[in-house]
Amino acid sequence: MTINSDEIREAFLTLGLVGDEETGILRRFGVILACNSVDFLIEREIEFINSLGSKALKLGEKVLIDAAQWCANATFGGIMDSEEWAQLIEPNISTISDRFDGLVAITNCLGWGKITSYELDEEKEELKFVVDYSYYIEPWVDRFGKTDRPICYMWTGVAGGYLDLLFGSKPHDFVGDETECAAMGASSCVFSAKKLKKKYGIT
Amino acid sequence: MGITEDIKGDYKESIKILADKSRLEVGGVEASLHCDKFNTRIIKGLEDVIGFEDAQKILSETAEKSTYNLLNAYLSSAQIADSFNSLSPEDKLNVIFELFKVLGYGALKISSINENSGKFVSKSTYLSEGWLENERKWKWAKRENPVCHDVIGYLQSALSLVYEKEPGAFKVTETSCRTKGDEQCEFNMEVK
Repeated sequence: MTINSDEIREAFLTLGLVGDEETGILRRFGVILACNSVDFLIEREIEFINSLGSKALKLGEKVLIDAAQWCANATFGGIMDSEEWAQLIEPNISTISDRFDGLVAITNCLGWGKITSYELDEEKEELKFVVDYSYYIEPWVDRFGKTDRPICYMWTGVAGGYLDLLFGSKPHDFVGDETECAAMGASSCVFSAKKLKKKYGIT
Repeated sequence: MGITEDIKGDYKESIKILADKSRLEVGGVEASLHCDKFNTRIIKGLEDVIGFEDAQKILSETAEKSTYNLLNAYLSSAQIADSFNSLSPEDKLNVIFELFKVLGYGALKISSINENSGKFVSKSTYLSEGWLENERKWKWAKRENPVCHDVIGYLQSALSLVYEKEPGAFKVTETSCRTKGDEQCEFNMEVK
């Protein structure tokens, strides 16, 4: 590994994670960032899911995962095109795994929880990664206790989005899945991503 | 430096990345960075599925409660409370608007304010700015309704703090929005 995540975190902080003095807009890495409380980010998803009822649970989950997959594509795509990436990370990249190391280092600065390990199979174009301290877990478990299904929707979308960027040509070429979730009692949250199989040419 | 600049400077200093967990803290409260792509896609997804009014209600109400807690934890802390409480309501609100800038929510200005009514304007909320960029990027239809649902919640929480009321005491309505073609976003406040 040639990416130093500690150095990237320090450099990330020096970029200034605050909005512009006049406009209050926080432009970094080619996107507009905002810093919200974790409670807001999770509560809005819980309230949305609850408003739909159990019959539309899958639809609600798909909306949240889809938003994150588009986000990953645009945000991390913007990050990889940005001057900050060119200065901090690009000089250390020689392989696709290095590039993913860079994405992990940036992801781990955003306050979502920590990607602690991953396996990227470049030949099969498949990814598996482990997240500790996913920001979903405490608010969700505090409110509902242990869940019967994975609930880290943002991370699931991001899992597919990573591979869209590394191997795909557009959003949703790949699909993410949460195979273990700490809210269900697992020790960590585990995500996988692979190419989306199309049935009869229909996604 | 004045009180506003002191508080704003201290708030900026309070932003920390908790490296062992890769979590973020602002003013002692857990927070997280997300981009306009995600936040506007969340709005679009919710509106497409449950409609404008219900989406606005969920997003503004959750933003109000959580932002109230986010701000209250900081503004009532030992090092800030005395300075903040010495200010007039209008100055308190201006301090909070500066904190909103720190958080990247955009720039809000007071047009008029008293305990029972108020008007606020913004030429740069982060949601309108982001939506307009994404509307062009992804060829979304022009909006017929305002988009700054989160900002309604931020404003309601700020007003509750300034006038020492519980969250839910004020109703803010977005009457103009840049995403509809208006020159600026405008918000009216009334007591519920």
